[in-house]
Amino acid sequence: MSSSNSSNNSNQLISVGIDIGTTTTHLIVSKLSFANVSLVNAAPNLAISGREILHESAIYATPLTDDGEIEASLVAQIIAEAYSAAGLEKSTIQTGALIITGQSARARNAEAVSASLAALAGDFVIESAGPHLESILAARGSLAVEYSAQSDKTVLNIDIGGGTSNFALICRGKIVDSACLNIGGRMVQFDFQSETGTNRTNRTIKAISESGQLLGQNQIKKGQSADLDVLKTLAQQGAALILQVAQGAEILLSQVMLTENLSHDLIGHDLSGIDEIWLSGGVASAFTEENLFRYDDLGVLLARALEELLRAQQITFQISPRAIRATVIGAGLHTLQLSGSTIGFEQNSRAMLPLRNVKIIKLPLLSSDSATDLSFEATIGRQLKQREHDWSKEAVCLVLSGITRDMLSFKFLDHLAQKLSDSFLSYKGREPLVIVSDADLAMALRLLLQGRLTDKRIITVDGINAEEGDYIDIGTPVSSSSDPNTQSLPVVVKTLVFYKSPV
Amino acid sequence: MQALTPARIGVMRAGVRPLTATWLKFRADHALARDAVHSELSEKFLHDFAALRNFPVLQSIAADRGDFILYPPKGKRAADKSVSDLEKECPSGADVQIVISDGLSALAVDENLTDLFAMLEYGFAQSKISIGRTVIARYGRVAIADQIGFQLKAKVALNLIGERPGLSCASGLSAYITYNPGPHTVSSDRTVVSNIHRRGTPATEAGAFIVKTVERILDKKVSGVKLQQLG
Repeated sequence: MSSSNSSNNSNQLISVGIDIGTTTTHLIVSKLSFANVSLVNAAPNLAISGREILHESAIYATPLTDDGEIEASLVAQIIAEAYSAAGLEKSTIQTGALIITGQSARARNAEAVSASLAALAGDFVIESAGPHLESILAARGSLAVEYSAQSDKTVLNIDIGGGTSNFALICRGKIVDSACLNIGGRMVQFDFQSETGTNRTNRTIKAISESGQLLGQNQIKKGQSADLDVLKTLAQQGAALILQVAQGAEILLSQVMLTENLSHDLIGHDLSGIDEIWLSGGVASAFTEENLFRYDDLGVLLARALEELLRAQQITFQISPRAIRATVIGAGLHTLQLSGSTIGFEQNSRAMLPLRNVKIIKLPLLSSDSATDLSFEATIGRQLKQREHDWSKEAVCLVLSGITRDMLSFKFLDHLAQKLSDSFLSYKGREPLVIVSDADLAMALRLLLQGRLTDKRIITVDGINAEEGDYIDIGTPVSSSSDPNTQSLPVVVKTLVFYKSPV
Repeated sequence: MQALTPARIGVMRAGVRPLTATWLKFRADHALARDAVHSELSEKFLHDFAALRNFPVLQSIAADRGDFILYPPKGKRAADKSVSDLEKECPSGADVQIVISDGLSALAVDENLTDLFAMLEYGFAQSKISIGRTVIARYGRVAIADQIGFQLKAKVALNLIGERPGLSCASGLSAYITYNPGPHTVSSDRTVVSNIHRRGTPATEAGAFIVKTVERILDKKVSGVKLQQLG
């Protein structure tokens, strides 16, 4: 057996997170370290043991063209600049995520941008974040998730950025619900020409977002000057909407919601189910800003209005210690999951990694009932067809769900391996055969599969949750020792579930 | 947090005493642990598993379970004759000699062995590692496998043995793996995979991990601390 995977720092990864938001673009470089957290002598279990931020880039304005498209070439320039400021060579970066968030995610050319940045971002996860993913990333990056896990509390994290407000409800460290509201500091943008100072009067409106128009009715118009009171009212309306979503109230202006509302059952309309409210994002960091038009937009006014509203209703809140960079930190540090450490992976599959954008097919629970057995293969076929996937041309990742500990008998796994290998052969599946499960079975299942598919490359990964509709990336293995039996695969599950596409 | 662990946390108290429910639970778990220590390999295991496969059953020099509990060193050895007799039934020079011992919890053997053994058989066959014929050691402790492995000239001794029961688990199994076992073997020569039970590492997954670990031990020709020192 080879131990060629024992590179010197195999227990560390350099990860880069890049967030192209509605208003700002920034980047962080971080170092993730891994350690075996298992009991002495028990089967190994690697976990992320440290997240250290090595470099935070300056905050750049997101370069947009006049018709709202992202200027890919300028973004590339920003990234290259940030790399050199951090003293980074592209080749030293092992993983990362480039996340296009907020309304810029809905810019028509987001995909083209991803493609044009591939050279700089190499093996990165490149993704236009849906509103749910964005909420999740912000909640992780703002430290609300960590705080909730450590304190055992229920925390609602509200990340208010330029384009959107993202809500994540976290219960004991687990994100249980999320929502997204199309309200942010960039509802209204001003053009002050050359005027500076704290109370600029010559406010010509440069742009109004869709939600801004809905809320402002016809009181504000592009190209005209806006009255401060009108703007304050608009900010108050925006703040009221944010609070309504937080309270799970019915939103009459349903167009401003980009997702379903938060579940009432979990929080209660009086917020009684929530221990703490955390605020992050650009608007949250503007709570102490004195210059009302510091960012040439409605951000500071929105922050003021929200603060007043929360105080009036005697709702206590905290500003996240990482308010401004929450999403990018979430993207850089928290998108990655580590698989269980007894994985089914041999050197012969190494050349196939990293795997990118592998489609996930969720399998039905295999029962010992023979009638259901017959349908196992047929179900795979149906799923492949439904997702218009030709397995003989492109690999898929099969997700086994609903397997509990009590079911992990040899007989069950042996039977499962038989069904899986039969299906793989009859659909002429493309290698590698990738199987993911949240139950602790990867090494055993791989052994049983390899016995049947002796010349095929098989990767089985456990300790990972993935859903139908997701895509998965699998990186090269990390390890805290040279023992090939103690390694984990870094996995990024790209979640598209819950995503309600904007109208 | 209580849902996450079987440990006794947040159990409260009444005056200086635990609550009745807590106390009863403690007594019950303690009784389970005590029963596990005194448990014997079941008829079902000896008949359906061992006899069916023609696995020889030998006994350490302890006269009975009580003797074994009172005089722990007795569990480390079997009568020389009973071990040398094994040569008639078991092939010598296998890569791995498996020994199944009741240790301090015969329940652990009953509960985990069927799945674990099936996985080991499958995995070793696939890796072309020979396993000879498995020996059952009644009233056995870890070191008894050294004696058996030495006699049968196995490269590796693998002892699947019931762990000392605790108050949260009475049926944990461990695998002690020793390269080149014999009278010279000391504890640091052994590689251990512990906590094989329903709430720990599932028997099937542990089986696959043991196969991979044995593969590595045969490749590196060391086990225990020396194997760990390889990094």
